[in-house]
Amino acid sequence: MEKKASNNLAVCIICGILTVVGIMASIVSIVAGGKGIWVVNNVTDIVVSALIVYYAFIGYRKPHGNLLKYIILICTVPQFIAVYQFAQLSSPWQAIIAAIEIGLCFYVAGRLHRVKQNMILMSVVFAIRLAASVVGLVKGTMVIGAITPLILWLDICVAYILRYKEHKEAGLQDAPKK
Amino acid sequence: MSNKNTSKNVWLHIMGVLILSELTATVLSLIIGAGGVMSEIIIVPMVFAILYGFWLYKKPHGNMLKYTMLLLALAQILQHARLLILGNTEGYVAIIGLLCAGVIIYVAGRLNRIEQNKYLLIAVAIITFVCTILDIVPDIGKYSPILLFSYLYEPIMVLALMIAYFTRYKEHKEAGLQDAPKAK
Repeated sequence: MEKKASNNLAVCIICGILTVVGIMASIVSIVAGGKGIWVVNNVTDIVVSALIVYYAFIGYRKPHGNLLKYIILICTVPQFIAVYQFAQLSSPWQAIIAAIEIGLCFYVAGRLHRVKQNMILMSVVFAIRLAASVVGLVKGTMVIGAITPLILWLDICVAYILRYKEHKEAGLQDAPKK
Repeated sequence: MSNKNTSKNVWLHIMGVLILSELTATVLSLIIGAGGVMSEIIIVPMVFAILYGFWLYKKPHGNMLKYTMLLLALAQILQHARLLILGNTEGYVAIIGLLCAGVIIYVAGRLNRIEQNKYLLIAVAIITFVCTILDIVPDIGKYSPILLFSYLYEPIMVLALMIAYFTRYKEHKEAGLQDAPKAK
């Protein structure tokens, strides 16, 4: 039991570090002269990162599934921008895949209590983001810019599987409303 | 009780008429090639909604309604992405359309919360209607009445699904016929 707790702490710390790197990258991107829609994207990344850190380290002490739900919903904002950008760049498949990913995120947010089934869906989203990051890296998009969505999603998965599941198993979550 | 049943039947018949007219308009638009950027996939949720509202509800299962909603959302996503790529829509209209599709998916994931979902679905119905009108208005002179009606598929489908949800699904839920939430 103690070993499990220590493993969980290690995962939280790694994700915390990754998140801080993501926040720094977004701030650097804004300061370096990001403009227009990309600023919205970066600001959203910062907000989501801050909320995840809050949920994983502080907010989880008063268990509530809604915070995680709102984090996932806010996390889709950059994806809307991505769909728009891909459409402008005439990349139909990337636009459609990003749009389907938005749908998956909304679906997961609507049924957080089904942890086991959601883990499969979240893995699908993770795979899509991983593929997008790899494509971004191959095409030479800014490295951190390509990796940030992946880091955010990884953080959400960890927060969900560790914190939410933990509270659910301990019976601390609200019962599903009728 | 009898009054309640009659009222439900009236709503379901309204739903049937709406979907059948929309389905006819869509098929006609596709056959005469006037559909333009219309996606054929939108026919599937229409058929599903009719099946759920009139036949399949006899064996109660919430999943059928969920899949119908998911299919509608998928059709919306494909449609908006397609319009955006072809440059036939304003960017913000497509983004709002995608957001509405997202909300429909969200609702599909939590069908048991009928009271809260009511507000979300009403908002989606109004927003999709406004967005569709915004999309149509600039070229309204070019469209035939059939094509014009077929373009209204989004708000009409949302309305139809709301009726199916608030009559059939609610009825089954109140009668305790829905599956219990799966084990935690």
